[in-house]
Amino acid sequence: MTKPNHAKLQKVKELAKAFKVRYNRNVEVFRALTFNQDNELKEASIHIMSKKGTRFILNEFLSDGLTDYVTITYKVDDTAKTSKYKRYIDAEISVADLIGQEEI
Amino acid sequence: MADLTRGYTFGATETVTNTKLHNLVDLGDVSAIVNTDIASGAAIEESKIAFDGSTVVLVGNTQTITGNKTFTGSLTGSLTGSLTGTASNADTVDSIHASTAAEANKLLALNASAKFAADITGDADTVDGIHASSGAAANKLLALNASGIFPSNVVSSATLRTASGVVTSGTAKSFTQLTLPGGAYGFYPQVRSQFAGRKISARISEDGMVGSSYIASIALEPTDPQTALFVAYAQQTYVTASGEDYFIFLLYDNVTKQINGSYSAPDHPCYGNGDDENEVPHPFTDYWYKPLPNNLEIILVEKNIAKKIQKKTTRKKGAVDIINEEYEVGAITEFKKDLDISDYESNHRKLQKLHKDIKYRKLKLK
Repeated sequence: MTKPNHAKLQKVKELAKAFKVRYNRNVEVFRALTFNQDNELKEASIHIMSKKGTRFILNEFLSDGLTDYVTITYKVDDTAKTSKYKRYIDAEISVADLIGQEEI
Repeated sequence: MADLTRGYTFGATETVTNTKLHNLVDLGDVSAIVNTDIASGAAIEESKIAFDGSTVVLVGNTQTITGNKTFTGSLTGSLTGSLTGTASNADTVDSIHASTAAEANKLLALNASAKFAADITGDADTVDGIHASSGAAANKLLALNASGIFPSNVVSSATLRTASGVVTSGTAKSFTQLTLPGGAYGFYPQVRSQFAGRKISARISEDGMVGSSYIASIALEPTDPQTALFVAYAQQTYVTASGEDYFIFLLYDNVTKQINGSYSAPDHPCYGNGDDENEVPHPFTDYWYKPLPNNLEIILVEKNIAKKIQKKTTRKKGAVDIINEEYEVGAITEFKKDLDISDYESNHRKLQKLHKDIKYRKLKLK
C-alpha cells in the first residue's frame, strides 16, 4: 500500500471554508491524494489543523471509488490516538467534536 | 412538494468521486408525492394506481376503459348519464341484455309510451303463473268485458260470500216485528215452524213502528190456535260484509223465562239496514221508539258464548233452539267494545256502545 506523502499536502482554502460553514470551526485544511496504477483514487488524506494547533488526520481508504473505511489520527499528550469509521461523515463529525472540546 | 432524500451524505471536507456522486442520486429516494408534483400529461399507467382499499379513481368525462376488466363488489351511488357501447355488456343485468323489442332471453324495455310492447305473447298474460282470460274459465284470471264490467253468467251463487241470519218469534198469537239480517243485501226470506204442520204468519210489517231509513223487516207470528207455544222462524241469506263475530239478540221475558223473539247472524242488524248502529241498535223494531215493558229484556249474548252456539247451529237447528235446549240466562258482563261490525264497503269498525235497553249477558249451561 502506498503511504500518503505529507510532502504532497496542499492547503485547500475551500475545504476550510466548507468546514467553517458546516461546523463553525476555524481550521486550516490540507489534502493529499494517492492513486493506484490504474489512476484510481486509493486514499485521501485530509489534515485539519485546529486553532490550538492540533492536527487531526483523516485517512479515507477507498475501494472502487467508495469509502472502504476512514481513520482519524491525532495526538493527545504526545500519544497518538486512532479511531476507525465506516463513513467519512461520521469521522469528520468526530473531528469537529474534538475541536469543539478543545475550544471549551 | 415531494420529499427528496439523498442517497449519500458527504462530509464537508470529503473527497468527491464519481461513484459517490452516482450513489448520491442512485440511492436517493422520492416520497410524499402529491398531485401538484405530477405533470398534467404524466399518463400514469393503470398498473401504478391502486384500485383496492379506499382509493377512489375518478374517471374523466371521456375516459375509455379498454381491455377486459373485472370489477367485484357492488356499484353504489347513482349513475349519471348512460352506459353505452354496442359491443360491450353495458346493457346487461345479471348478464341478460336489454332489448327494445320482445326477444328470447332479453330484458324488454318499455316503449315510448312507457308501456310494454304490443306484441307480447306467450306467458306475458300471467300473474303468479295464472293466465288471463276474457271469459270465465278454470284457473284463469277473468278480464272485464268491453264495458268495463264482469262478463255475464260468471258469478254463481256459490261464488258469493253469503251468510244466513235467523229471526224468531215465540210469542203466541202476537206479531213480533224483527229486522232481517243482511237487510238490503239479503235474498227473499224463508220461513219455517219449530214443529211441522203448524200455522205461522209472516208479513213485512204488522202495525210496526219504523224509522226514516229503509229497513228489511219481518213481522212473525206463531198463529196456530190449537197447539202449545212454538217458535216461528224466518231465515234470510245475504251477502255478508263481516262474519267475524256472531250476534245473538234475545227478546227475553224475565217473568215467564221465555224467549219471545231472537236474532242470530254473523252481522249486526244495522248491516244492510242503514248501516247506523244508533238507528238500528237491535233487531226488535217494536222497541226502537217506545219503552221496553218491565217484564222484557233485550239480551246481547256475550261474544265467546255466541261463537260456541254458532258452531252448533245446523240447517234444522237454529241458535234459539240450542239456547232453549242447553242454556239459561246468566250474569251481565262487561261490554268490551270488541264486536266487529262492517258496512257495505267492508269497512270494519268496533261496536262502541250498546243501546240503553240492551244487556250484555253470558248464558250458562242448564
